[in-house]
Amino acid sequence: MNRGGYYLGIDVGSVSTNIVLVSQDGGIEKKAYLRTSGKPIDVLTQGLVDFSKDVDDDEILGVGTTGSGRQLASVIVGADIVKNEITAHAIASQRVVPDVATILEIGGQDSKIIFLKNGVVNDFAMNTVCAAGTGSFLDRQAERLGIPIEKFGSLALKAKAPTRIAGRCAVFAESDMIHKQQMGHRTEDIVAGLCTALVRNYLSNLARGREIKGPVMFQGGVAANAGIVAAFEEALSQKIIIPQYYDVMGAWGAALIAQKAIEGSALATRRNEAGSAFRGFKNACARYETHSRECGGCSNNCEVIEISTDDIVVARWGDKCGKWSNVHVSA
Amino acid sequence: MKITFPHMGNTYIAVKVLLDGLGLDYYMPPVADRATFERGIENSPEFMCLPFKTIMGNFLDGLDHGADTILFGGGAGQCRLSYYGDLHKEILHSLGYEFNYINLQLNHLTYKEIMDKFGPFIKGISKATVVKAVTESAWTVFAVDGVYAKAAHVRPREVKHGSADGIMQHFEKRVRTENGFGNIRDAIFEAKRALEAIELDPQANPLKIGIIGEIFIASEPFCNLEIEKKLGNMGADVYNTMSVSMWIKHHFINAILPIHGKDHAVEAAQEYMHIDDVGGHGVNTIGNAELMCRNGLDGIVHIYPFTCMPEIIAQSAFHDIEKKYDIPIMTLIVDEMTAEAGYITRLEAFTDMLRMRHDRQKPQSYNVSRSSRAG
Repeated sequence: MNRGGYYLGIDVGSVSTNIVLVSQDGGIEKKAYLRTSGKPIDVLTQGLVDFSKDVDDDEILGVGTTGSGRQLASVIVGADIVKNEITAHAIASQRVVPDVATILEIGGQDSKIIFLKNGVVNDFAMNTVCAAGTGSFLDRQAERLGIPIEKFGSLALKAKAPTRIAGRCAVFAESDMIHKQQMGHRTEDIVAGLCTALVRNYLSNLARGREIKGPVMFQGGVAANAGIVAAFEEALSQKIIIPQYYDVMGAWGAALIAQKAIEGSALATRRNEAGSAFRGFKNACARYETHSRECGGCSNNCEVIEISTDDIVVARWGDKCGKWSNVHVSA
Repeated sequence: MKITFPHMGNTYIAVKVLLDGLGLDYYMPPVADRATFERGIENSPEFMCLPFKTIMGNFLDGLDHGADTILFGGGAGQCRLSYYGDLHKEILHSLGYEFNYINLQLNHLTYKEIMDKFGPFIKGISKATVVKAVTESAWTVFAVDGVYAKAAHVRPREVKHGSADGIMQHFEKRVRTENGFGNIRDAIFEAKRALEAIELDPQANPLKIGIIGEIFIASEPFCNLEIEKKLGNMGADVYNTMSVSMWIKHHFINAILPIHGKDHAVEAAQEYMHIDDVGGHGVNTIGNAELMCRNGLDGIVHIYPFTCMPEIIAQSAFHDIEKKYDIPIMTLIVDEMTAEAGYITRLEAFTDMLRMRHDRQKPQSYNVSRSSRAG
């Protein structure tokens, strides 16, 4: 096996698209945290162009994708493993802290809590019907208050008397914040109050009374927010570990899972020399077009999505019966 | 007279057999139809539960296709099901429809009620015909559930992925278009034979996952986003307690026959909820979770429509059950706005987790060294 080989991990989320290059010992060699901005394909291909400057196609031993856009990313790049975010985050966290017991993760549009026991995921929860307290909401509030999101957290730490904010619902939280501003509360107090409210909301919605044992890790884009971290430490009365690569943990986990799958299976006998389904940087960075239409084949009228490059269809999905997605399409 | 009826899972197959057997004229709304589904949502109160909206869509479609009689099985319990009937009627009347509405009170169904309500339909039909049609229909219910259970057994074990799904797709297409007991029975036998012929992997070691919750959602693939199929294809043996045959047995057979067996689920629930009814199937949900844990399943998926009161009550017992058996229960709440991507992520993460827990139980030495480190 190529000693200089790497594994590629890709996490396409609602807010950010993250790419990491992982060496064979599992460490991160290069990472990119990019804003998805509603254009996952463009952002991903641009990110890959940047990576292709540092590595060659034959150095990529395997690819793993995760995140809400994992299916899309897998088609574009050619992935060996397509995994959900929960498993990916858990694997990456265990690499940093092997006996991690609780993982708090707050991303752009969803938040999760993962409990581990004896080295495996034992329980997890994801936010159900509401996005209050996720990254997008914080982004919006920072923008409304005219504070750059990067400074939002440190501002919260300056608060002397955090304001009480109604945090159960994003809509109510926002109107409550406006009300408190008009009452003359200081901005840093309001920001700190919001952090506390969001943490309270997160814990009551996701942890639901389950015991939060240490070590506790906190990751996802929101882990950069010092105000939220402080609020968590206060609520849980314990130190929270923020991993160095907190913002790309999902992508890292995907790469590690791909590595495990490639090394541990007979995949190598079926695929190209390196044993990976990777399509190569040049193919991956081609121009992609997506079309959607209603099938009309039966009363269910599934919305079928078709992804093509150079007029060749590379993938289809969205149908329930498999009429379209099962049709073998070659890249 | 032309009858129409709402869908719930695969009940339509048995209802067709019954109505065909009696020689009655009827119109069956299309199965899993997006357009009628959306019409139902448009014409229902927003915070009403999903089953109501789905059924509403079926009624509207049926009445538009010339039906003048609606056949519905409601209830008189503590949940909103008890005013489904009245509310459906009010809304349809206000939309200008005229129809005859037959609402069977399923909670306390008696032989007398069945005869009173069905009397006018079977006037002039010989007793022998009625008995034959009812018997054939009852057989169909159990046979169809048998086919679905067989498919659930095959999915995680089949060598060629998708074999069971292909057969079930063909089976569903056939029973939707065929009429009469003979043809439906042939379709059932054909599917059974085909499923039995699928090559299974003797090494397969599927996870065991149970499904509990609100019966309409748990048994209707269109509403539960084909949960049985999805879990099966993720490598799990799926045990769905909320099957149509259970429902028929519960409401019809127990009502007609004088034998009343013990309800094991209700009995098992008493440890957590000292009451025999919280509306809907809430108590059954708790009891079924307890029974599944006793039987050593790997995990349980609890599914219900957004705002369903009995299931919200049932959910409160899970904390104790999970603690007692260390078996995870994941709750999924669905409504017309459920995004499939998030739904799949949860199911996938859940099966992944169960797989890891399952595998952990094997290598002993690994287990010990891990726990000592964690301590």
